Amino acid sequence: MSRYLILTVIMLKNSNMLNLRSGKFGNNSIKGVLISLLIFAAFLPMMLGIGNIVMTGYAALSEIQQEGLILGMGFSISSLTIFFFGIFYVMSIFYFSKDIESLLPLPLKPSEILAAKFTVVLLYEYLTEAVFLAPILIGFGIASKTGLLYYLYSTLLFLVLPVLPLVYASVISMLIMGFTNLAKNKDRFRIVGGIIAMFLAIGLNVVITRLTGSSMNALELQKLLEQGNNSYVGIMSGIFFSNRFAVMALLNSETLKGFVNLTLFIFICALFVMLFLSFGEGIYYKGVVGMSETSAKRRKLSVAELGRYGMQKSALKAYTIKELKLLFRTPVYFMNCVLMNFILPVFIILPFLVQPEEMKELQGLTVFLKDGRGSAIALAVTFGISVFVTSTNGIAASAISREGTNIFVCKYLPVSYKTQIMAKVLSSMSMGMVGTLSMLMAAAIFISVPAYLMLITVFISIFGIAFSALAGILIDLNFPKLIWDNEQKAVKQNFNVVLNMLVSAAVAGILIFTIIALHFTLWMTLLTLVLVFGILDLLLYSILSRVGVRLFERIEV
Amino acid sequence: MIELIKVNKSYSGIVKAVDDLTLTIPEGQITGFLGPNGAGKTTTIKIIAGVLNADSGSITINGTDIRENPLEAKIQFGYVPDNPDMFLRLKGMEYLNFMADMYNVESSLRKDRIQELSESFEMEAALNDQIQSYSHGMRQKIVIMGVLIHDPSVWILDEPMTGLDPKSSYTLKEMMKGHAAAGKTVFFSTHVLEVAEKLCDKVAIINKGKLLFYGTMDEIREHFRSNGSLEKIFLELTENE
Repeated sequence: MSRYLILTVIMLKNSNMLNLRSGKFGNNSIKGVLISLLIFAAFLPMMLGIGNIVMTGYAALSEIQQEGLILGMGFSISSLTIFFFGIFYVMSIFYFSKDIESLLPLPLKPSEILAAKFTVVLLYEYLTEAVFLAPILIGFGIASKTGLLYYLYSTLLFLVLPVLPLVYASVISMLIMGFTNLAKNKDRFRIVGGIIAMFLAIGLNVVITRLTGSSMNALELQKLLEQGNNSYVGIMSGIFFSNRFAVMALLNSETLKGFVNLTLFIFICALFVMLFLSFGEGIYYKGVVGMSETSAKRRKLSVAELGRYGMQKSALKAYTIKELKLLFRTPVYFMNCVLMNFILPVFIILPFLVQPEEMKELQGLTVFLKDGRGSAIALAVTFGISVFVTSTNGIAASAISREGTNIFVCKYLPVSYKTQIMAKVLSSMSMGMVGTLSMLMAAAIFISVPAYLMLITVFISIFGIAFSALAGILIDLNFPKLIWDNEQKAVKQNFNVVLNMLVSAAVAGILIFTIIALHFTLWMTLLTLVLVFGILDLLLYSILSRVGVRLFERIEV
Repeated sequence: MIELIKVNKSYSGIVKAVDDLTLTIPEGQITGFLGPNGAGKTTTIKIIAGVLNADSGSITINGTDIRENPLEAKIQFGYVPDNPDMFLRLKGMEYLNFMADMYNVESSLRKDRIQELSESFEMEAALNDQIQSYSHGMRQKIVIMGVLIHDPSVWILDEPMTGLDPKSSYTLKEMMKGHAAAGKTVFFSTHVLEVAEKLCDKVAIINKGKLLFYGTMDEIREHFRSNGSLEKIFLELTENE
């Protein structure tokens, strides 16, 4: 037990959860605190909004005695989200973290390492929960005017809830990694494993939605709802079956029934942790020992091959290609920054797979697009999505952070910082373009989009993609996160990416809103977007050329 | 030629890593840079290479100031860092060509150099594999090759012999001698005093960021009136600080 605690504390100390640099620069930690506050402030409206919805919903649902539905849905969605993020966290912290190589030679049991790493992931998930579940629990508590015991139970449940989804995510990851570790080319298999895990997570999502949707018809559902007494909670099932005990515990927090349900919930979670640890004791090392091995053919290149490799390129081109190669070949970067752009269409198509009836409604969209105003709105929305996608893939906002302690290499290369910055911007833009194009292609499968509209959209999205990329790297130059022990921290646990998403979403949102509100025509929309974003891009470019270069100069590790 | 004039660098304003260092590293000679762990060797080398900014003082490489004309200065030298773990997911070949593109080396020229260097360091069979599959010594070799691909006139090498096998170490030493003999500059840090003793024309010894001694091997013996090895002199010199 004590070894577990020591390990956990060491891992947390080592992981430097905030985006602060190692204290060499005093003013940067102030910047770091400010940025954390800013991000909290950005999430605050959303949290308040959720709380507000919960309180309104409570008023309506409590009349038919189904207020438990709110908690049930809150727990379900939280569990799913935790499971989804969990797969990424588990992959990086259990397997890709650099500390593994120093832990393996120590006389530790696999379950001890696993338990410590599981705790670290659990702590990360509390951050996810805090944004979504906390406002639901608090909103419900206020609306139901319940006692102190409710809040005590809520806190306990908040802490224990992520356990079950995380056990699922861990077991799936361990199975995949145990299997892919057999392969020779580990990087490639790890990428494949990651894709499988992601599709499993999405697939499971679809299946659960379908099951709960079709398990009873509308009439039965209505009957059940009319029964009152929070009967709907009773049918909550699926893989997060224990959530119903959590709901019951909160609904009956004043009585013994609540206490029994709470105990039951905690007991189930504890049981799953035990199962997970004993399972991991056997399988964890299968995936993790030999992780760092790589395949090598040691084949001599022919003179012709030497020549083919050796075509001279400009520094900008060579640098951009280098950036893209590293993005594609590093499993964590591929999963977080590259894959998203290719599977974006899956997320668009997904809702229609879940509910095939909605396909029909798409036909309406085709007509809508023929209309001038419709196409203007479509253009603005697609533009907004491409801005957002480019910021979501995080390539620009983590471009400096990804260099890590090897940032010194950028310093001695005889290539200007401006060229280096622009190469990073270009690598981000090219993936943003991939995302936009794959999204448009997916759209074209379902609805007939006029060719001219397609062309205009592609052309105009370049301006938006450039904006996201330029803004992203400017943010990262300001707050580079260079000290990390696994690549995940450079891209996913990097506030710069979140900040870039917020900025891009805000700017794109305001513009789309304006265009729709002011009834712009297609050509007015086009002109506005080109003008506004053309100017913004030029502005950012000139800031980067001067301030950005100076910031780059000052970065030292 | 590398010229440092009154260079200062401190971390967090307290610990002085480099203290008022003035040093001229001449052409046509091999200059060794010695000092105990944490003496400021790597910091000094990083300042020369433009990786770290000095708090004050000036650094010129072949007469070009690294702060005022960084790109012009950087193209003059090749720098081998103390840790070769970089670009691990590029193939050796891709890394060499990346460096060649950065230093603007022509296609035909780079092909010959890559062939030459990979033969000297026995790396021909590894070039088509990712650098992460290399051993420490092989990584060291590929980094050295990447640095030499543009045939810089000034070599700045931070512990270049670490991890090299005897053959590669010998090759590198011969190359350093050849480079100096051709009238160019070689500046390298090392902990192996035997190497310094045999290879260097001059040595600079620093501790706590301060230059303790700078001169030829003969000068050092004369100065300390000692017939002992460099090791003995070094130990006495750094002990008394």
